[in-house]
Amino acid sequence: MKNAKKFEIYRTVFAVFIALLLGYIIIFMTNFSKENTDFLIGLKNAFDKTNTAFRYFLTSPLIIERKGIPEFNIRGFIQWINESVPIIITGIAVSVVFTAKQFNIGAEGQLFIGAVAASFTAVYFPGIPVIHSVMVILTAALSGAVWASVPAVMKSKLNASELVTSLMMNYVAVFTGLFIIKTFLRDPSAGQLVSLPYAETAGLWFLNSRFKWHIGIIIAIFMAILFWFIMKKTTWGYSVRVVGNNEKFAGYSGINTSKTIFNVQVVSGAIAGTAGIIELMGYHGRFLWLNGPGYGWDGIIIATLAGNNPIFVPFAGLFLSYIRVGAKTMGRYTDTPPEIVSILQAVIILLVTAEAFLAKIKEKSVIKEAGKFGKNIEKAGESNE
Amino acid sequence: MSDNIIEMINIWKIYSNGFIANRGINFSVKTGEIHGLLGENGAGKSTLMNILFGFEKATEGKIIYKNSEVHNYNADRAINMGIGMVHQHFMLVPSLTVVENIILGIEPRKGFSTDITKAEKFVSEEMKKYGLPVPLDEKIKNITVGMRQRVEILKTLVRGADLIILDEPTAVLTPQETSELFTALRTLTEKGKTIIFITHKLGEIKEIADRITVLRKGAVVGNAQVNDLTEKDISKMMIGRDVELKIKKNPVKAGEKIMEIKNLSFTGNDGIKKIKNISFSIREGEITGIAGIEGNGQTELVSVITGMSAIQSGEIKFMDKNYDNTEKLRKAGMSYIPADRMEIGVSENNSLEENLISDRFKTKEFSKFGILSYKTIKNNALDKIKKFDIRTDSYKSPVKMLSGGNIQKAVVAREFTSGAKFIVADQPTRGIDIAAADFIRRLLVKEREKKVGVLLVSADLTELIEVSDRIIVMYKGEITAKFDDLKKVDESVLGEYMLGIKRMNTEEIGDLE
Repeated sequence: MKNAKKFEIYRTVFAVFIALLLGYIIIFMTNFSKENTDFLIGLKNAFDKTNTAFRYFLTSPLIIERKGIPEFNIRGFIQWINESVPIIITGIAVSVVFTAKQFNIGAEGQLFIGAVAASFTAVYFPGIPVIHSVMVILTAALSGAVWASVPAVMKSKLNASELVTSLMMNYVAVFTGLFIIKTFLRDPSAGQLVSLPYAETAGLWFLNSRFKWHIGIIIAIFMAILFWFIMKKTTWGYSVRVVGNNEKFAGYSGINTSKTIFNVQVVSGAIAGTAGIIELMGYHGRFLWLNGPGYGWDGIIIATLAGNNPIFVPFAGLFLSYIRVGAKTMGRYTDTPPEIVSILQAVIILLVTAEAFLAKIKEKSVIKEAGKFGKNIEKAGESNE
Repeated sequence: MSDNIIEMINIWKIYSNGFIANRGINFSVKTGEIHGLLGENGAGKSTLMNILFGFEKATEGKIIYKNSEVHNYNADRAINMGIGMVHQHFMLVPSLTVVENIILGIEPRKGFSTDITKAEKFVSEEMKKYGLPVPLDEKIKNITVGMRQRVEILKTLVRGADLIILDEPTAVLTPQETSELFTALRTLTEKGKTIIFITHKLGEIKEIADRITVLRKGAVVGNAQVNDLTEKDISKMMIGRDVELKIKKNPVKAGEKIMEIKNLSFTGNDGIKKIKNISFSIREGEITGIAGIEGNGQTELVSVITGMSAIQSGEIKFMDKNYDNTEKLRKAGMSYIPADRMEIGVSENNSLEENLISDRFKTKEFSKFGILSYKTIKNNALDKIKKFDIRTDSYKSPVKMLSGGNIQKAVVAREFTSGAKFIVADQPTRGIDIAAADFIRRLLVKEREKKVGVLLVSADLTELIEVSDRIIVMYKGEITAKFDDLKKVDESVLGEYMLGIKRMNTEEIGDLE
């Protein structure tokens, strides 16, 4: 049992390693053969360039060279942490709903609608410190939940596939949201489509105000721990897990499965609803998206990497955010395109979700262990008889 | 040259989840004999035969067929070498005719189409040669289970099988069909075929087998001529100790009606009427047994009674009230041991301790303010593991790591401790070993003495007669017989009603209250 869990961790680490190796090879290939020089020199140049690019990619969120001296990259570090916040929160939302085997992929729309609705609260709610911020987040959670209840109702009443309906609802959310912002909340003095600035009381505390390091990460990690507790230790979480593992068994045991399925989608929607507004109130101070920010999709990647366990979600989120920030810096300082990170993501997800990947090694170790165990039992049996 | 048609030497099989099914088994069969392979469920019989038939690969060991060792073994080669297997669940296409099923994959051709006349001629020759008459032009779905089995045997013969493996062939047969099968098997051996007969029914082995091999916990524990043994010897070999086969039942007076079923009808998803206007009652302190060949409406009856399927027409009253789902029925005091334990009875990816509380995790004992108290959950699991002898590495193991019999014990441990007033037991002992089955039967009888009402559905007629206080026979969705005095009933009497050869009229059935 414990070995099986350990094995999953090894496998994830190994998948990351392979992806990085592949990334290295691809960067190498893009750097090679551009110039018509001698083959060996070309090879050497390509290696040099690739190594530089890779160094930026892997270290820049933490260390940056200034005048040849490496020092702690505070700006990069804060960017890394801040960017991980919304995707950790959507990761938790997706983990929760996937635990019930409900493939609701509506986090993107939920966070968008949540942010739009909460923008009203952020602009117009009376400016009482703390309470205002809390009200903004609650508005977002509530609207995310309401938005998520649409596919949930369609699933439980009409048995419509939540996969399709939640996907479609994402587009509805983005265009409805933009319409609402444009019509009711547009800042006429701004040169582009953004909302009125949020009230000052609707912000988040800063841990470092120069680079706008807000407390979003603390909220995100708190939510991860909270939902880990809810899923593992409460009757509600138990029902969700049992329904996800075997719906027939849940019904047979007297668990109200359709209610559980409905509830889990709404709760997930409430979590996802807060993902966007936390970034907007903490960093930007107004609504400024013209498109879905993509955090909902990232949430699916992160939930998968974390094995749908909320406690692992922050790690997965921090990892994804790290390689993205690294790739952006790499793109700024070298001529390697930062989109390379999408390839790495894809490879990692592919290997982590491919059940057969390294399964032979696992099987062999199990057989070896069981064989030993079995032969021991046999000996014990002989001495008994 | 030995006269063994097959020899399996030092066979080990370890599954990828760590379960050891075969531990160094040596198994040989002489040409022309009927060889009984015995063992409780989980003893490793099916695994061994799957290895012999090339379905599964042994982790270690070698196979010698007709005195030469086989390498790179698979099911294709097994068939080509002359090994045939008749599985417990038949592998036939219901919408095709008998002859089409038999020649499937080896059709004689005429241009681009099948030469059906040639096929029929060929099959009917084989049929006559081995004394296995089947209706060649009838579709599989229209013939009886016994016939289907014959088709399966013919299938192997047509493919040139010399060694035929029969996996629990009598499990689905009535006593009449069983004796026909035995006659056919003897004819086959007279013609030089060899038969491996897997079973855990002792009586049959004495009747049909020449020699037996007994497996226990994945290893061979005995190998002998049947004539040298009594049934008791064999059962001792299988279980490792003496088992008291008779259950003692104290007389209990049936009390109030606990469940009342009135004019119940049910139509399945396929549009076929599965239950036709049935009415009967179940009383406190009484075990009502339901007999019937699979597919005669028992499954649907259980499903409706337990609230898993909605009532379509008719009425069901549980302690004078109507309920419309399982949740409410359970709260009102129903327990249910489902026939399909993997699909319905457990959640295999949840731990054992979590499976043991699935119907009661919301009670004060196991949770406070919505938070589970894992300490009591653990203690509950340890207690059940001890009382019900559930063999597991840990109370935290996922249920899928347990063997079939132990999973059933876990289901039973949960369902018998819920304080129920009414228990529905659907095939409670199917596929589990004799000792565990005996344990479960005794529990049922004990519950009855506590004034609990029991509905027992079982394909094991011996069990049904032994445990029940009265038996109802279902045939094509109707009640066709009722027996109140089970001293006068035996398997063959029940068999006649189950097959539809006989049926009681309404007066004979009488009062079903």
